[in-house]
Amino acid sequence: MTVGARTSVSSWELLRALVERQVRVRRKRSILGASWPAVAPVLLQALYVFVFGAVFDVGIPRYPEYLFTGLLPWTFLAQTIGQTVTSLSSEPDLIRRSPFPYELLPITTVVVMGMYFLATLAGFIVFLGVRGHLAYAVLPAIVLPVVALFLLVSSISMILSLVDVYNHDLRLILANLLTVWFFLVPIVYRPGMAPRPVRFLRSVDPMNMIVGQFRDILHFGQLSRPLHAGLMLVVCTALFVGSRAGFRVLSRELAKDI
Amino acid sequence: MASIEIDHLWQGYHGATVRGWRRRGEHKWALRDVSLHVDAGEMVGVIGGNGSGKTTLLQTVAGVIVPLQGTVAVSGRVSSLVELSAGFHRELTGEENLLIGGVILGIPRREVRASFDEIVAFSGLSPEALRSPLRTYSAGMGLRLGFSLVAHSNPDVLLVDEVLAVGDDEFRARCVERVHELRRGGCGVLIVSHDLDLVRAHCHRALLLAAGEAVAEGPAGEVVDRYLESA
Repeated sequence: MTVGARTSVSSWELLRALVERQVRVRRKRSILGASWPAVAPVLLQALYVFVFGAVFDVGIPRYPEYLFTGLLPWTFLAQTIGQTVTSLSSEPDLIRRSPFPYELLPITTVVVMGMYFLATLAGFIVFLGVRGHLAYAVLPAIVLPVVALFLLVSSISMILSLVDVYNHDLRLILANLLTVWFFLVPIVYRPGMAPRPVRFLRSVDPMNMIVGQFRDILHFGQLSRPLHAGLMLVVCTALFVGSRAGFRVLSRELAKDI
Repeated sequence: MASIEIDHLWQGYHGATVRGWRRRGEHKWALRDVSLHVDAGEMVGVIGGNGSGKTTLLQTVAGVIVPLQGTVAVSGRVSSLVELSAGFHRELTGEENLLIGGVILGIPRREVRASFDEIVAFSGLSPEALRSPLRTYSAGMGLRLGFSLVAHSNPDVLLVDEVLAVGDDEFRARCVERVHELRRGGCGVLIVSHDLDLVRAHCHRALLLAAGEAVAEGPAGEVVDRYLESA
């Protein structure tokens, strides 16, 4: 066992420094760097509106808004996971040098990307308000799927970043896995359009629950059933607690293995 | 009062497959039943050939890896003069790296701010260099910055791994003097080095490791002689 105080920096102060470092680095030698995470979902939106709204008509009223309520949380998840998967592998010197809660490395990227996500979400809410399509009475409930989304993205980030230390195959196939997941979640199509086996998979998919909540509140202007919202929070919280505990145990010998 | 107390420490690494996965239950022992104490204000050197377990010992004291058996106790804040550029980013300026990297290396920002001028003066870097990205620095300049930061972090325990060879002779002499200054202030120093003259000249005691075992411990000069005889 090891005993004794080793550092005077709290996890909170360390997280703030890591976030500050990442934000500053994004701004260096890049014009798009700082704003790209916020711009990306808008560009993707334009592409999908063209493909599924104009070329293949999916017959969903106010399709651009319908699409964006799913695309926004999805791009946050996909972009963040794509970056956090190497967040431990890319810092071997730091991990071998300093003892600190290593989960802060993937969480840092979640926080930074989360800031862009929240900024884009705020812009979208203003847009809906200006268009007169916003149900103000149910808007505060948006906090629930936002919290659930952060918990889910953090959980996946912690586990995948750890897996990547031991095997780099994941980073090669991650984009393909995310593409499959993307089409399992009813983001570009109506929930009822998928065949029965896909619908079963969706029933246990936390991302499906989160997108459903975003859509209910922002697109349909209604509250989801309390049971659905509760289930979403319980599943995402359990995933986060389990992932963090698993990460703590599995990362005890990280400095030896990295 | 002991700054570091190592008691019957066993440390090892997992065997690994070609594809990087751990082999279950296999350990390659890096340290076998090693005990050592370092008093406050004392400098102790650890010497031995490559693969003898010196760096593993330092990493265990730093708390980066957990002992498999035995205990390691340290009193107070530990700073490591190891991997000096860890925590720094090539795209950030020297100034940004001091303020942000300092926190990442375990030094609160208020402390870096408080001793900022001292750190910069010690590093010998110009104000212009401090405002330039680290990628424009020579290797020596980056190491100077890292050394200066850690050397002004007011540690109770200082761990040093071969980095006293930083920069030119003048800077190296200042580094050694700074380490002594910290030691005189009550800091316990554990230093790993292949530079036997440095250990002989500056350490009170030394530990000789061979294949993870402590084969000699005592006055630095005697242990260095023993190592030279066995080499």
